[in-house]
Amino acid sequence: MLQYIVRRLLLMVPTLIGMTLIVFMMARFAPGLTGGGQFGEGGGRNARENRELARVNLLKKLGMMDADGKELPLYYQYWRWLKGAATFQFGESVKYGEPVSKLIGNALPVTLTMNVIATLVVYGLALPGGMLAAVKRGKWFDEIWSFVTLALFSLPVIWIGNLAIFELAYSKNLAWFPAGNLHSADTRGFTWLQYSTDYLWHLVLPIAVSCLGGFAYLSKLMRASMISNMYEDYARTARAKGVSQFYVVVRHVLRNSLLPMITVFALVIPGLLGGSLVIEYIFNIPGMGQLGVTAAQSRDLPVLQALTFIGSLLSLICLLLADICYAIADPRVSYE
Amino acid sequence: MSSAQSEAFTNAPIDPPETPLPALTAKHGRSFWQIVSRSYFRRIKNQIATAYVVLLAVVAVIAPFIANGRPYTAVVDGKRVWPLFRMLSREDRIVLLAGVGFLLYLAVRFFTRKRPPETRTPVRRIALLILVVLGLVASGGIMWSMRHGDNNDLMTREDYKGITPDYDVQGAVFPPLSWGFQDSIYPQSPETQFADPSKEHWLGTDESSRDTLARLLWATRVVFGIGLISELISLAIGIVYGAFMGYFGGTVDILGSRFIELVESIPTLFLIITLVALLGREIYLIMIVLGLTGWTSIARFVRAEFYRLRKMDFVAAAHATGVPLTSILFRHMLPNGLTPILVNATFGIAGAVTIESSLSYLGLGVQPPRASWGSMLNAAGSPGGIFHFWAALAPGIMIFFTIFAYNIIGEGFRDAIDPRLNRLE
Amino acid sequence: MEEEPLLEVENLVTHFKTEDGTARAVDGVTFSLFPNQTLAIVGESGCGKSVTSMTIMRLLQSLPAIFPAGSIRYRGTELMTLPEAQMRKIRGGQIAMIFQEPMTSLNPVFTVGEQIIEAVLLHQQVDRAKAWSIAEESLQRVGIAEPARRLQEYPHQMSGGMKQRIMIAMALACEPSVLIADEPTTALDVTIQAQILELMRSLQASAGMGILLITHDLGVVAENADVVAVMYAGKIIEYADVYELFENPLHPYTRGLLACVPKLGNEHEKLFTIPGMVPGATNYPQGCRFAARCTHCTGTAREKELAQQPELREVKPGHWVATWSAPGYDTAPETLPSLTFRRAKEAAQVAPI
Repeated sequence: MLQYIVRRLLLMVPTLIGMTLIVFMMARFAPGLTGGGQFGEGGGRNARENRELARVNLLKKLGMMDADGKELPLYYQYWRWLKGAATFQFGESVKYGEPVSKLIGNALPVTLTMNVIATLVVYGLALPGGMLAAVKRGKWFDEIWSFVTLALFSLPVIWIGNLAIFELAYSKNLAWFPAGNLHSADTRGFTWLQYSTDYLWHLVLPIAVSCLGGFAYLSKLMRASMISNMYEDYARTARAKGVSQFYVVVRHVLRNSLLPMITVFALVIPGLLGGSLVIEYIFNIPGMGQLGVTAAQSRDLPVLQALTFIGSLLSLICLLLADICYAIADPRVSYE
Repeated sequence: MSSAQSEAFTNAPIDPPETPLPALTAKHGRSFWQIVSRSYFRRIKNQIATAYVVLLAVVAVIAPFIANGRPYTAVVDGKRVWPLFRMLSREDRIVLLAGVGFLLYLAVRFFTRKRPPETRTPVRRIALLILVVLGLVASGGIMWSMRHGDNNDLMTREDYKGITPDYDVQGAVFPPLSWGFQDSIYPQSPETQFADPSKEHWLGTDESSRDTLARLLWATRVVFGIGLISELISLAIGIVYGAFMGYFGGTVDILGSRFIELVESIPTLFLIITLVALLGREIYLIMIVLGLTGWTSIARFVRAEFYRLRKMDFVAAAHATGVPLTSILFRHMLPNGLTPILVNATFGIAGAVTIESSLSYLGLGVQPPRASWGSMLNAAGSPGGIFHFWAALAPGIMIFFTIFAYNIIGEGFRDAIDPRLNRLE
Repeated sequence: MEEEPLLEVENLVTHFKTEDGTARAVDGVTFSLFPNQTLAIVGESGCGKSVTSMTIMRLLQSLPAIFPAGSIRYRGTELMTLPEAQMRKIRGGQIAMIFQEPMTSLNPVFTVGEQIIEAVLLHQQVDRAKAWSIAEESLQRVGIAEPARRLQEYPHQMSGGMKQRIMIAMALACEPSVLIADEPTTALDVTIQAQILELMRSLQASAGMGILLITHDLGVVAENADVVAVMYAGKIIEYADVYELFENPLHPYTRGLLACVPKLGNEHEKLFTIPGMVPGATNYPQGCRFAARCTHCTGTAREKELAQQPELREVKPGHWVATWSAPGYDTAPETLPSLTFRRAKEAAQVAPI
């Protein structure tokens, strides 16, 4: 087993290197990068010179130019960036002036908490849901279920998110939930329990909205997986042995149907990360998503690079986890 | 069985008996596509979804002709002018040309469908050639006329409407909706912004006092165009990539999979917003970026199909008779694996629409004043407490319906091809 | 004294409702199976033989489109109307079934042993420890070496032939009276085929089982069957003991089948084929279903054939056939086919692996 993990890790190294290359090369695709409109930083005779000066300043800050204004060779830039990335140092944010690692350090736990809870919710609801739809195949329940899940899957978060806030959080309508943010306005004097409860209460709407699509997708997948397994030969053999339909489904078919759900897990976290861009923007949650949006809006390259790097790292970790879980679950996968 | 009997049987004449053989009269065989489309169009939700998408396509092409602040024609100061046509942008003309060309192509296919294959194929090829040549000529004409023609219109919408006294306008024939996507009510005031639906503005107005319905229709072009073209790019890359991987297997396959894994490990939206932030918000750039990030699932599918197909005998036969590689890949194998790829592509379009509207919503999509449903939503509702219900409803519903329609089509198509999941064996 | 049949199938009918109409997959099938007897149902693909066996076991998914009718009696008990809970006791415990594809017939995520003891625990009142030893015994009986180790292995670690032996072991672990074998060797190579069939013969001898062997391979029939029922388009068209059938085939279809088998020593330029295709199950003609491809029926016999589907009649004692072209058919009685014939069997040897 250890051998398997080590082998997967080694296989991941080229992917990791490739990813850092891509993330690094993104900086080269920056024509006229001025990093947030810092025009006219002074010292130049006209707007054009000011722009040029600002650009040089920025490039120096980004480490692409050395102190004399000479552009550094590419591989040297890459090496320096890579060293920094390996120790999670990504320079300074162009917009905020703060070290990027600090910004991300504050934002990452928020996003991670949200996404982990969301994953649990999604899997917890989708697996039984899909199973139920598969078992009641062909009956009206199944038809409606398929239609409803497809609709849920198609709902645009950018609309539903705001609609949810409007309907469920404004005091004009039902004010069951807070209208965004991570904490209530005044949390001084809260005990740890009160603080956590308040935190979770603020997370209900965002998580609910972000789960809609994932739930729909996973339950469809589960249903399809179960149905195709119910027609497999081994299910027929089990029935021929006299196993009741209930146990055929729950013991034989279920375990085989769960395998694709494990594979899909590798894609769930990256998907949620991407979705968090919009969710956190709408609900004003200070996580990686919101950081990313403001960085993109202000063309803050170091932050963008760092976010992409961290995001990819998380994806690769999830991929590894999914592979390991799959190897445990499916005896056909050899450990050698 | 005695040998004499077996001899008698094997040597018995195999002449058809006098009475006709009903079991041998085969029904007029249906092609695969006919079976699939019959099964597909049976269900009502597929019909509705397909009609909706076709309607969207039509609107995308003719938007400038149904929602425009300039009239088709009018008599200004005694002279007849055609302002709407004269002021069509290059993009408008090319899209119209493409739309008309596509319709002509469909017409050719329709009118030649009853012919036997021997005469049909050459006729279609010649017609296609003629269409292409005409298209090139027309495009050239468009380019030339845009460059040399008079493309400035000094008159505004209010002038044509006769609201201002500067011109004498008679007999102005306006399009059904006499608002364009950037025509604001003049003069603007808090009442004209986010106005409720009225007779004049069926869906109300937006934050710059522009007609919501007109912008909705124009936005169709952005959404539809980005969805379609980015998916075509993904298809092109994905098919070629996956075909090579699936056909060759071995090292090519392993290396190719590593690269796919690499691209997939980068969260798509992060990559897209980074590229858009760095490269700019040109609509064509966005199409390309979306296309470059979405090809991996197609490649996987194609690879799986080609892997399965390459073991089949017809591939070995083609190889043995010296058919060149690209021909084997794309003329023999691809048509067989095409159908699941199309299903995947349909879902891909739905995904592209989602991404595009999210980008526009976050302010990273197409530039104003171009309309996109996402940016319309942003104006109607963004963090900070603004939410105009009706102004958000229109674009929100459009995005939802469009994505939903594509998903229905994708699923319907998939069920038509492989009915095991839904029908009963 | 009349021997009691293990399994009596009378006028079994299974129709499917499809988009193109009602598919009459099994359209009135009658036969009887006696202890220590092998009844082979022969026919080409699509003639309804698999559906027959699935209907007997009531394994067809309860899709609303199935309409079974007729009577199936196991040791006198009517199976068609039996409540599901009791049917489950019979399934696997009294009547066992093995299938064509050993590669996919076992659950890949469970060990072989777990799958065998599942059957044992269902039908025998024993505890887990005893169940494991029963499983080990059954593996030994089918000639698998190192049974204890094999029980802990997963299906993907075994070859096709071994998997089929496991299937047989699993089916026989509960000592059923009837074994339905649906093309058990079609997916295996010839040498393994011989081993598996020999195995089945020897197990039958020791247990007195009745075997319903479904196949399309006449060679398999010739070597293993006692009684043969030839099926075509949902109906049995000939029924006789194996020697009689091969020496004296009466139905044109049977004769065609036999003529299709290439024989060494005969010199022909082309292999013989029966012209035409099997009619689709949704639109059978009114008369004899083979008439369209038949080159033997002529004259008045043919007219009768086209007018009405001929029924199985006992034209000779112990030989039923359904065609007007058979001598003596006009006056033959329409009795229910049932034969207690068993061939003389040599001592079979089980090749261990």
